[in-house]
Amino acid sequence: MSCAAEILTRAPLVGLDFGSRFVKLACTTDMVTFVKRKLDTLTFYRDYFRRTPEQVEIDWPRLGLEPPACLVATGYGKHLLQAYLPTITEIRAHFLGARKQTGRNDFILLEIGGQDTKVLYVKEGRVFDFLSNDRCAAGTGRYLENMARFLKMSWQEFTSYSQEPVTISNTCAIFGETELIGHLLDGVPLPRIAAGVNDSVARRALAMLRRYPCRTLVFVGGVARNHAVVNCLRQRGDYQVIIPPDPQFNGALGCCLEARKSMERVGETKNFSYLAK
Amino acid sequence: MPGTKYRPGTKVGLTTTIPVEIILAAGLVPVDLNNLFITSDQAYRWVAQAEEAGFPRTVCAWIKGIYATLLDHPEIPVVVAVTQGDCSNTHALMELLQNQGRDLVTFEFPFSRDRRLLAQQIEQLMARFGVEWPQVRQFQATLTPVRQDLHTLDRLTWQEGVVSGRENFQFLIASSDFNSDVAGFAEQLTTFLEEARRRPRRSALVRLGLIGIPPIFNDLFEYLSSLGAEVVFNEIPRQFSMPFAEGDLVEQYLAYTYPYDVFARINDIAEAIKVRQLDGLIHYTQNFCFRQTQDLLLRQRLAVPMLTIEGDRPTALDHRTRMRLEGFVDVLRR
Repeated sequence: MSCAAEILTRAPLVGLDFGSRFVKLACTTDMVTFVKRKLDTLTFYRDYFRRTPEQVEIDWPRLGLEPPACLVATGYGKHLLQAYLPTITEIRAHFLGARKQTGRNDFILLEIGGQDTKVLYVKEGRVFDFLSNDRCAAGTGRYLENMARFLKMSWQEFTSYSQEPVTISNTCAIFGETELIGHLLDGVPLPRIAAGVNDSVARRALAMLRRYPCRTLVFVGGVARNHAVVNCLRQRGDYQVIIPPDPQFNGALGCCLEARKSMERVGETKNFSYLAK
Repeated sequence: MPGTKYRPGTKVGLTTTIPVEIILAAGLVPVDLNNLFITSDQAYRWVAQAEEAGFPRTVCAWIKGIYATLLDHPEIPVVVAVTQGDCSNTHALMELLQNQGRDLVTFEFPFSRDRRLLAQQIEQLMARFGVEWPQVRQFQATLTPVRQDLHTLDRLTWQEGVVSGRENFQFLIASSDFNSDVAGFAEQLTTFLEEARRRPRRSALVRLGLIGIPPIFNDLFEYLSSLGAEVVFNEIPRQFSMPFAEGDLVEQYLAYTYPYDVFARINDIAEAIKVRQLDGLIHYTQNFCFRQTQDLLLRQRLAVPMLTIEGDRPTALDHRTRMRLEGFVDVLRR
């Protein structure tokens, strides 16, 4: 048995995606089955995570997970961790995760998370190009959450509306509410307003997707669970839209793959400075 | 002649690269206002000051910076403004400067790249500054070895790996006005080349081209280096150095890609991708600049990974742009 294989049998590998809205953890011992945890970012930071100048501590028992043999992190908050842990870019994490989940080599990957939208053009098994939104957070998960809350709808209800969307022109997440008030006062029914918000998110994504000549779209991130956005992408964009089984854990799964690679590189494991409680 | 009214040594502001040989032949001192603005430690404040004076937020920071910088430099009594081939905002900038009583000279690069029209513009500029062809040709010849040294420096960047992307950028971009001191610049360049040739050869993991107008960020090169990437092609600064400086002055400025249509730029970039073995391109775009639209054509015509970044004010890279650059370099590395 090789050294790496021996370690694999002893303790799990963990991928951690430290997003702006949620922290996602994927934990595995065999790269086939994964235990997953999702926590509100602030809750994770406050209740499960502690950082000192020397190390970071994660409360594994409280998370119901075993302390890992190797942990690789990505996401918006990876800067907190990169002095202590191996980290990879979000682009790499999502690329690895999407290939693992779909087994495909040629696709456009759309990831819409809490405050970022990324589009990766994957050709012949490598990332050929990518785009991401610039400063504006309109069209991201946080924007959708805020709009659903404004309309006093549950996520479930909000994401069920895609018919007869009212045109939402405002591109600003902050002033988006002003536009919604305008439609309310014009007497537009709430389902049409919700559909309009979902539609506007899909349209913004399509503007990025259309740069690449590929009809296969793999959609990951929290917003991939929004059926209305998915419907709109299918209809407006004429894409074959593939939603992998765990769209929100895609980045964390990618980190697990990287963790396995790290373990196979002899010596790197000695550098981990995190401690398990 | 009208040009004779300027005493030798008078400073002449430039809004972008023009046939600088004419200014130098007239015994005047060219000052690239972009460089004056961006190298000032007050750069951020100049932009804010222009906005306080009433410039709209939706106008590019370079225009605002040039305007406010000039207010602080009354010793520059005359400005040569490129009113075709650079930026249409220059028109309004000129009107504001004119209103302040500054002498203005306009110069147009004909969109059609018509030799006759360009020659006409060059001769108008010569008449304005009171110089004739023999003097201008003489100065063109004086600059030839300096330009050749700049081309050597460029080669030492992409071929030898002994000059960093930042150093390459700084020397090449300064060739719009030769730092207002040709002799001093030439000497500094010679010394630098001697020193660079003694350096050990470095091989950058990721070889990048930086295309588009000069970035307003002040730490882009350092950040890319920290990621293991090096800029081995600075598109526009290289153009400022006149890489195709052959033949007469009109030919030289006809071959210059920056002020004409994007297609000559695309050919120039495509050649660089091949010759310099670039792994990817970073397209810098300026907030509120019409050149942002050219991104569409650059992406369509250049089959190489390209990251488009956008800057607004003279600051360090923002968090999101750093994340995108990191992702891009990472993608190219594997």
